[in-house]
Amino acid sequence: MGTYIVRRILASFLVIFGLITVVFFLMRLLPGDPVSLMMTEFAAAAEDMERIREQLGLNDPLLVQYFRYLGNLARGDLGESVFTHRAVGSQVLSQLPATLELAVASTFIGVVFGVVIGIFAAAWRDSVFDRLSMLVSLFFISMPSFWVGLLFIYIFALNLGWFPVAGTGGLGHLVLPAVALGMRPIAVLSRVVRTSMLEVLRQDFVMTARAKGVLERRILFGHALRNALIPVITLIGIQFGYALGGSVIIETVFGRQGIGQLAVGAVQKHDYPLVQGTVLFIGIVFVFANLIVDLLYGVIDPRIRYS
Amino acid sequence: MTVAREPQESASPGVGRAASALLTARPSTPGWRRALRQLTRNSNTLIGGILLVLLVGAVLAAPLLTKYDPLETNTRERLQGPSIEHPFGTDDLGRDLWSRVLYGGRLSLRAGFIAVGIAIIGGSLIGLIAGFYGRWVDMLLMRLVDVLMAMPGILLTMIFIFSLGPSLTNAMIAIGLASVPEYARIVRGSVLSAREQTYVEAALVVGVPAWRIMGRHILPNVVAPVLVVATIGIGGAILSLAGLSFLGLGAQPPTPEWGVIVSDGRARLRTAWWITTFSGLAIAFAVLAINLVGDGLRDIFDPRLRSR
Repeated sequence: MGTYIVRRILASFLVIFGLITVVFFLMRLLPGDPVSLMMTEFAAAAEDMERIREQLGLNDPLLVQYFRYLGNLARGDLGESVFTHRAVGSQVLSQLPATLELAVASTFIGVVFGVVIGIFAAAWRDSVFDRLSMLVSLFFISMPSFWVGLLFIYIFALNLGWFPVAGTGGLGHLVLPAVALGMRPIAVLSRVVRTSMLEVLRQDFVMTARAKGVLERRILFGHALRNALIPVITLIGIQFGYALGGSVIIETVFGRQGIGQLAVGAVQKHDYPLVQGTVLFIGIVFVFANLIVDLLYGVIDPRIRYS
Repeated sequence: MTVAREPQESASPGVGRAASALLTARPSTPGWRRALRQLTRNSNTLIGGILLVLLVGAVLAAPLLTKYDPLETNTRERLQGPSIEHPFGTDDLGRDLWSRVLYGGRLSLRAGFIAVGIAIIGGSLIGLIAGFYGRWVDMLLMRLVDVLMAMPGILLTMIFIFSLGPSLTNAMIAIGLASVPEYARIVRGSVLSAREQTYVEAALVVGVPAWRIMGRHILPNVVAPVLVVATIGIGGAILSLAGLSFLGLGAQPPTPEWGVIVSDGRARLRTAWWITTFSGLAIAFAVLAINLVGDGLRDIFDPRLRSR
């Protein structure tokens, strides 16, 4: 088990290093001059643009820029926002909790409701509940999350007044965005759990348990569920990634001060260091989330850690 | 389908086996007639197919279904609710929403196809090279793919938009490029399994050039899994484009792209719910139809992935 943990942690650090390198080179090698895009709003003179380029070190050779970038990262320096002049690192860290809270809450909602619906859809196969839940899940997989968010605002905030329309704050501000973002994970997970449960319920050991007279409830929750959840664990990592990416849009819909909204604003204003910093940060959080899921997988399924 | 004749026994059994393998080699996709029959038997897929035909038909017949120009403003008729004259109502510039949604459908469907097309071309190139040549080429390319897939897709898309600038065309390109890693992985996987087939070994042994093996023997096996993912990918691309346009990073107003219309309606949610509602429904309808068809294709081409 120890070797497995060490191997996975090392692999994650390699991926993070790769991510840092790829983000760096993508942002510098893609066509388009970010400095002139940044300055279009201000109708800046050529000398001002040249000064900004010098400030950002964009005139130096690529490899020099890369090693300086790595050195700064090692010191925790993600640069300074061109517009606010605030350190990117502190801006990202101050807004990270709002995003993490949303991503965790929506993944949790997705997992809990998805698993429960999936189990009962499998247990009551071909019933009205099964057919209806699978149809509704298809709808939710097809709906854009920002539209679901706006519908929730219209119904639950503007009309019923149960929740605030927008903002970051306590639990009240988290419910609507988390549920809006969680609808797709509920839909995806319910379908996967259903398929997985049906596979497991076809296995010989379930037939044996039934022949022995074991209660159906015990078969479902005691025997089948544990095996059916194994592929679901991998999906949790994917759904968390979806939630992190989805937070970019949902935070804009609900006016939450998270790093998703920070990233969107940075792209809109062409704030070079802020785009780089926020994208990198979200990517690193995603890699760590997948590492935790992989380690969990190793704990639950012994075949993985000994392979 | 022709039945291959058994080759004559020769003095060199190895060459005989190789020749036999080449003669009997066929890609493993089902006949198109059988596939179509299977598609229509699945009720979900049939419904999806009908919805898709209705959608494409409506979008193509837009000039016949509406007399209004999607960009024409008319401040006297602004913010009117759904009516016979304006089935989806009007927005705050008096533009007919039924017309904007119909013409927006053309943009979304076209953008979805182009984005997926870019992803397939880029992904197939990388996947074919990585899978066929193997060793360090494969390792390098697949590690790059792993890193690109290590971040949520929208972030990669946003990096491309950041560099290219926000517009409908750039959003299409960005979504396509961001999906290249996914298709590279699928194609590589298919190439690896096809490469192990006897007929490919046989072709290598008799000296067929690599490009010919890739094009004639390996690529046909790649078509099926790519087709399944691409169909569902078009739905995903439509959703991504709508999301980017909603954020102001894709299509720009006054373009009648569905995400732009949803965004237009956001400020008027309380007083003019129809702007956001019908445009969002259009997105959901299109993506649902495509997902239903994609599910059916997956059931045909890979029974292991069947949802039932």
